[in-house]
Amino acid sequence: MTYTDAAAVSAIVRAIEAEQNYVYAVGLAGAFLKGAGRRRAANQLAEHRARIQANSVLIDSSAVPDTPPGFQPPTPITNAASARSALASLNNALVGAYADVASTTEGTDRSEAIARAQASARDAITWGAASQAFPT
Amino acid sequence: MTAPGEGFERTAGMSRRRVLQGVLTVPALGAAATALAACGSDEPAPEAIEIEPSAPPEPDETLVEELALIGAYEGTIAVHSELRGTLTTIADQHRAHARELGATEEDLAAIEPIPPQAASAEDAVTNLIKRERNAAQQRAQAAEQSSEPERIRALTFIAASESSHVPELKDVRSGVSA
Repeated sequence: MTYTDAAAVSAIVRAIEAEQNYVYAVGLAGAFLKGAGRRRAANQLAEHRARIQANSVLIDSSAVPDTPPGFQPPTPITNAASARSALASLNNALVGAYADVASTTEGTDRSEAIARAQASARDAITWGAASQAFPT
Repeated sequence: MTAPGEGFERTAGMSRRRVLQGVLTVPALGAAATALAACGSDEPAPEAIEIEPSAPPEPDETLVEELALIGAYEGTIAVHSELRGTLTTIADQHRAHARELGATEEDLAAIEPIPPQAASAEDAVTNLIKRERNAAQQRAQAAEQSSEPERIRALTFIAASESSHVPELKDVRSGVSA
């Protein structure tokens, strides 16, 4: 389904932008991670790129934001600990982005947005965040 | 990103406790109540308006389940006080969920602890993990089926939070079994 409603388009665009930022950050973080953390980051790179593609087909192509040349993470990524912290924080931010998508879409699109919100909340824990009642 | 707003409208102005208990006051005069449109003695005979009895609203299953989840945490903490730290934090998050779904402080105070049916602390945490998985799935389904955007948004946040409790509880269980 292609959404034309302004609220839905806006929510989907914000989700795409949040995913683009995550992809950039996880690439940056991967340079500081080793072992299981690096493998997880690599897997997430593919997963979140796929999410960008999946979100992009929900709106008219003219509304899909271009990939920005760079992204400033909320906290600088300078070592493994700051890499994990940044990825945890960005995953929690994705929960809110997908809650907005869920509230403006329907059917399987809504189901997928909810599932992505849940996966992002779990990933935040995996990267070291504490759980929150309303992850942000 | 902002968290959900301050709760939902109360169901038809009824107290949440009453909805939770599934108890409704049936009009004392029977199936139909009659309201008078005017009462003055000098006025024409009052026009009777028939009010159809409304069907009792269904208890909010999502909220009832959330309150039961809190009871399970309280029961586990009561028996396994060594787990108090993380479990209290998670139980507090469920209280925030319940408030968002419309629970009153009176509702929260009335929750009865549900003793864990487990032989050990490890098993008790495993039971909580199962409950959280079910809760996350049920909140997701409720969000899928809702037609109110704000409720969908809140339920998505809650479903995500409850899903995140699973890996957190697995860490707790690892600590118990170590």
